[in-house]
Amino acid sequence: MLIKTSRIIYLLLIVFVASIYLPKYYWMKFEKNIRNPMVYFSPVKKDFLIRGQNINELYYVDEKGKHYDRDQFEELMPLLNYRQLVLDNKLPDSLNGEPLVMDKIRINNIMLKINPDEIDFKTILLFPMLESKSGRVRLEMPDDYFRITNRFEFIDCATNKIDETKSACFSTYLGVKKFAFPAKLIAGNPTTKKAFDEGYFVLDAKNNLFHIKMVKGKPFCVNTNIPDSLDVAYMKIMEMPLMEFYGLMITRQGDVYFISYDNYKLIKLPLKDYDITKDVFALMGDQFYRTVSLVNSQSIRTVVTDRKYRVVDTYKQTWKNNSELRAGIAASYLFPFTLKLNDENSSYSNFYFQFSGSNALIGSIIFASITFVILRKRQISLQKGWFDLLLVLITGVFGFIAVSLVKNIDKYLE
Amino acid sequence: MENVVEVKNLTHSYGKKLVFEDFNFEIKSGRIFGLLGKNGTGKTTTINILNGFLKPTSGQCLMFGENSYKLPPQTKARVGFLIEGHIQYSFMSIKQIEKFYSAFYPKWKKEPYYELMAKLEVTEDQKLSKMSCGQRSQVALGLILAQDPDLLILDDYSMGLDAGYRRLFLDYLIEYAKAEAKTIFITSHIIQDLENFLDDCLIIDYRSVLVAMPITEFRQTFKQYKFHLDNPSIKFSKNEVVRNFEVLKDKATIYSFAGKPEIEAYLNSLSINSSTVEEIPMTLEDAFIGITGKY
Amino acid sequence: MYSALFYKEWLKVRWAVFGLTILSLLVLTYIALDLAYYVEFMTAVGFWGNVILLGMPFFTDIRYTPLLSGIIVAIVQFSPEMNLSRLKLTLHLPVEENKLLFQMISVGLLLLVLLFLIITILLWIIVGIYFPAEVVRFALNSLALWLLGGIAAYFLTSAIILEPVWTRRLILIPVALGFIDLFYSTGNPHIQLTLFFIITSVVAALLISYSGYHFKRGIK
Repeated sequence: MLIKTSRIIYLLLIVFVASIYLPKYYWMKFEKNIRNPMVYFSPVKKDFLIRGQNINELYYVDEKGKHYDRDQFEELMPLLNYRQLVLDNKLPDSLNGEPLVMDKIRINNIMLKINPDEIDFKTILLFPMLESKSGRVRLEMPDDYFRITNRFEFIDCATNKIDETKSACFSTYLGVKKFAFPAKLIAGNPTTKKAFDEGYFVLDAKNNLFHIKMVKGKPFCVNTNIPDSLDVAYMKIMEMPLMEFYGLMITRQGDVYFISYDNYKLIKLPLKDYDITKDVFALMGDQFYRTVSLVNSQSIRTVVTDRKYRVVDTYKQTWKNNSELRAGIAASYLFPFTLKLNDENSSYSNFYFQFSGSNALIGSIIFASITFVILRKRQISLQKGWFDLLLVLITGVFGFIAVSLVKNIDKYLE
Repeated sequence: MENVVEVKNLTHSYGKKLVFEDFNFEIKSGRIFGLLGKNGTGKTTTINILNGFLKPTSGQCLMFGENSYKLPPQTKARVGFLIEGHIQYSFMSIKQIEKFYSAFYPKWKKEPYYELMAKLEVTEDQKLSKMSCGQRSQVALGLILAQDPDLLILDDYSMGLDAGYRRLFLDYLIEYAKAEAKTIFITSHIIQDLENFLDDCLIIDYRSVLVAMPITEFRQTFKQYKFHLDNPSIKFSKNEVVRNFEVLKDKATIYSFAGKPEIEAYLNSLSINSSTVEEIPMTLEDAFIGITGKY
Repeated sequence: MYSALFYKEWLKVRWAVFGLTILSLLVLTYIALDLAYYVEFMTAVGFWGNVILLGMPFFTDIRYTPLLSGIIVAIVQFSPEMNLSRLKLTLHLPVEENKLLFQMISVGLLLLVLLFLIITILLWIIVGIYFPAEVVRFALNSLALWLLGGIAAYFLTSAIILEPVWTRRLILIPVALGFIDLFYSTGNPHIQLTLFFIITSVVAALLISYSGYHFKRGIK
């Protein structure tokens, strides 16, 4: 009994290890680097421009397929490339009825990218509370870090001890503002490399969003009154000179909101089908437009809005990803499933289990048949070899390797 | 008298190589049983099967009535085993090893062990690895005596020992066996010491059993005959009568279970002059060589 | 009987265990000195920023010590048993075979667990001097996986050593390597993964009975 159990464990171990390493090495050899296209919206042509990559060369096309060279592209995207155009003296004075001024262009140009593995990630929940109005040009890192558990605590870096006064001060103040401890989500921009500091946006235990910062040493805490029904997955706060919004908020359902400076009013982006576990969120903004793209391994969907977030145009392009190319199709016959412990869409290690679909059944049946023949040859009856056969049927090549390597010893057992 | 060990139709091969076939013997309680044979004839294989280290290709080996391959621990405790070369846990000291084994055997008596150790003139903390071969054999023996087993299996007790230690070992063993009526199974290829020790013997050759009988019977029935050969070119062959033979110039020797009259008659039938036939007394070793041959 | 067996195994491994304990203490001391160094030269604030905001590794020196420990204890404990005569000696003991095997393994396991406990507690203390609970938790979480890897390595190395059939050894070695590698190349595990690793590390012990089965059949 013990022998049989340990043999089964042996087999399962081999299947487990094989299902991780075989596909891994397979893809290391066969994976094609598919470069995602980038989608731009030209304020000049009022149309899309797509940048693609052919091996190592970049090319630019429009929706109709007409090619442009880099100079042409830059002229069609003046706000993106304003510095180059200024150098070449090609920047127009105005566009779409508005004057083009360097400072205004610079302030309005924004770029934001969010990867799925940023969303599925829990950092160490300690944050620096910067002094947002120090009177100094540059921001400075504080001497302590805070955490929000059942109260607001500041821990001094040098002594690793809680600063009771400061902690009590903030805790009480938050209590007054009806903040429900502990915090569910804390989002901010903990760096000094920004023009100013807006502190943190914190979701309390009752799902209310508070804006918390430190002004002249004193706590600042405001309830944003954002609906508590939102299932917030992630918030990204970025202090931009534009001062249109503090940052954005993403729900688990894939809704994206800007948290605007206008009393924290939420501006919903007109996006559809944003899968936060798979899609990369990319936002480009300028004086005139907001271009939002959702990119995954086989498609890019872009929505362009005006500055009032009304949809101007949409674009979609799909391509074959690795699983649809030849190597991928071969893999789907060969590997009934693949197991990965790391995934590019998450910062966590977990079981990333992927079924290959019905194609693999054919592979499994072939392997199971070969196993059947081998069992016969080794004179092992079905009664004793059923587990092996079943294993190969379910796990295909992985089980086959395991069963071939670990001979069935049942016939030796007394 | 019960059979401590029963071997029935024992056959074993390593892969395609047959070691022995259809072995049958019994070791009776209180007897001292010797398995004798030249190197490579299957003595160690037999011991391995007896101790349950090896499963025989076919046949049965029973110890205390139970399948030797699956001896339950309580039965194992009744068997004392001396491994070829007196192998023991050499990283332990005299004291440590006694302490270790005492936990496993319910009938453990440490007095005989320490008596023997006293004769060695080594300290308690002496590690086995730092002792000589002969001294280690004493330790191994002492441990077996302390265990007080019902059956002792000694695989080539004499290996690596010089004459003095061999004799000492046997002296102790004989005294112990006779005093306690223990059953002993011993293998060896040094025959001379066992002369007055064995009760039963089993002499094996490659793949066959040559002799299986009490020692006294063997000594009484197996004889050596020497005679003068007029015609040195006569070829002898092994058969029922002539178990072995040697011819050196004009002197011939025949080994046989037959009596002198039969030998004379046999020689006459081959037209050989049988008048010079003489029965020569043999030691056990002579007899052993006689039946197994010199090479 | 168990205490006698424990004693025997202890006699075999004690120097290795002492050596590994000293090694672990040295590594931990090194880590402690490193931390003090970082605080001095980066300032506490700067160091905290590097660790908390930038994910700077600061205790990874201890990473492979558990792995080394598991492998060495297995080698020191079981290599001496693989000599044919020694095998016969051990198998002759009046204890059921599998029980014997598992008792032997429990000794190595116990000693390793004790060592790992010491490492855990010391790391806890050391990191806790400079950082609050969140960072300590993070460090121990990473350490947990490395310790489990050490345990799994102990069992798998034992199984490999006990396996008398060399063809089977050749299979077991890459499988073991692939499996152990998962403990060290996988960062930041979800709780399910940690649980899985705990279970499989423990279950790997059973593989030894598979080798042990051949233990006996390996006597030729």
